[in-house]
Amino acid sequence: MSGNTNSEHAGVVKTLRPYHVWALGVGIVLVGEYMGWNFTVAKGGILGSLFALLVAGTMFVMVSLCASELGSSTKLAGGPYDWARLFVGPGAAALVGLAVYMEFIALESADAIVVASITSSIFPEIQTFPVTLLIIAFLTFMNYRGVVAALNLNFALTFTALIAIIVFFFANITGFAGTWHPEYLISGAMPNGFIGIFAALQFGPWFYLGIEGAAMCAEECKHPTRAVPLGQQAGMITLLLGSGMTLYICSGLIPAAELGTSVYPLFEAATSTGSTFLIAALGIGTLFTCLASANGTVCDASRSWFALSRDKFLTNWFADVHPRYSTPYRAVIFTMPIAIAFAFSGFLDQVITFSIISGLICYVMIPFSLIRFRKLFPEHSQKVRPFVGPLQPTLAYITIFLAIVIMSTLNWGYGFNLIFGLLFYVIAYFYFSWRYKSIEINHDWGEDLGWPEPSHRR
Amino acid sequence: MVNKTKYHNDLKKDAGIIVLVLGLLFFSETFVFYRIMSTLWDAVPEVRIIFPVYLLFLMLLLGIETIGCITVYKSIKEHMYDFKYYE
Repeated sequence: MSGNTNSEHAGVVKTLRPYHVWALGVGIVLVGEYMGWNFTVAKGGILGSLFALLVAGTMFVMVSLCASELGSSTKLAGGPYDWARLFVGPGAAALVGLAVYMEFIALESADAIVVASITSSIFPEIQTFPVTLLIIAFLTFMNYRGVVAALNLNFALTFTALIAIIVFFFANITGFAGTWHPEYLISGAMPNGFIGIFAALQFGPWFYLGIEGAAMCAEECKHPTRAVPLGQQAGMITLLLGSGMTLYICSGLIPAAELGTSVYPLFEAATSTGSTFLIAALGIGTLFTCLASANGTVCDASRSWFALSRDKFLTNWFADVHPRYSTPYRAVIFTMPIAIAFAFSGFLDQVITFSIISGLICYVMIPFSLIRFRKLFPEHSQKVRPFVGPLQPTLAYITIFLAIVIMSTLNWGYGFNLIFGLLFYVIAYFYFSWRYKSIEINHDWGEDLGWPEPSHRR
Repeated sequence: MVNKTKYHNDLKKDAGIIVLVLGLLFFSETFVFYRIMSTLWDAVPEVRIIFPVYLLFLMLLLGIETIGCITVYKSIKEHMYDFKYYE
């Protein structure tokens, strides 16, 4: 969301600190360790999953560094949308805004499906789909009323879920929780050969998907030039820790064939240990992360839709702010039918795939925005670029390359999804570019950001 | 007037957090990598062929993250008085 026109964020109190940035990023993403990542095992076995963890992890470390530099420089709440708007152009901005919206809506549906599946497994008489609808409706209502309290609760839920993973890992390696079976790794090492290992990359982003969202609270940070880079890097390290620990625990406690199709692998791994404490901790962790993530995604997706509407990419009808709750309530309500449409398919992998495609669009555009930013403002000054990321723009080019490679691996098993997804975004790009031609752009770097004119205009 | 002692102590705390989480990351990633690779080394011959690629990405991941953290630390140190980070 652009800072200059965003009524909801106008005059926001700048109180957030690095741990808030950490909590925002990890809060949405940690669910990726509790479910979804294990589809890498179905594609490429344990070796495929490890490969996906390392390659996607490398890409996300670089995305984090790009987001840190862009977030601490612009200090705007819109994150990737604002970076593309400022440094690339209106068509790219709308594309990123839409991709962020779809990425988070699909993630919300996936979370709701998992919570409903857990509920159905506990109470077999309850059907999954009605529970999924109920969860989506409940979260929409929570966000309609306001999110401050809900996000504070998110932080507590996320922290509990993270501690559960760390305790489980150390309990397992010290021999207190279950027996780690090397034979599970050997039998499920690489069921589909080298192609399978490469194809596993397609679900690798699920370990870290959405971490760039941490920089979206830059506008509300007390010291964004410290809080954003520190919180973002701490968040990324937390996810790397969580992903490594999760892969290790699950690969040695669940046979690979079962692990590849599990809806909630960490909970199943805990169940296999027979420890009541761990079963309860990981069961609660799964529920908590799904709810925290779904709640955060409704918030972020609705703000992205609101920003698109406010900046006239969509009808202005969605840009209304609730007079009492100060939320973009129409944009919030509109998340519900889209989330239900995703959930209606009922196939977790299909929903996750669309979220990943949307995320990868962002991971091409974020480093591209950084490359453009550095070309427009090559000098390093406290005002324009207080945090200078390392090895740039080389890392930005490598990130774009890795994102495209990972996207191409969707060809194995999800070729139609990939074609449909790309076609959807190409049409959206041309539509928004055409629509925006009729709108006059009045953007002043000095007035909007307090920056000098870009190098090519001086 | 800036309290320099407080600033240096708080900077040390930031550095401590970075070193702590980086240490935990190095331990956990190398432990997981070693256990999985050593388990599969003899049982799955193909591991020897692709091992260099895995090692390359492990080193890239840890290396870039370390460089990133050092850069964050240097940036905080450079700007802490200008932006009054620890007020």
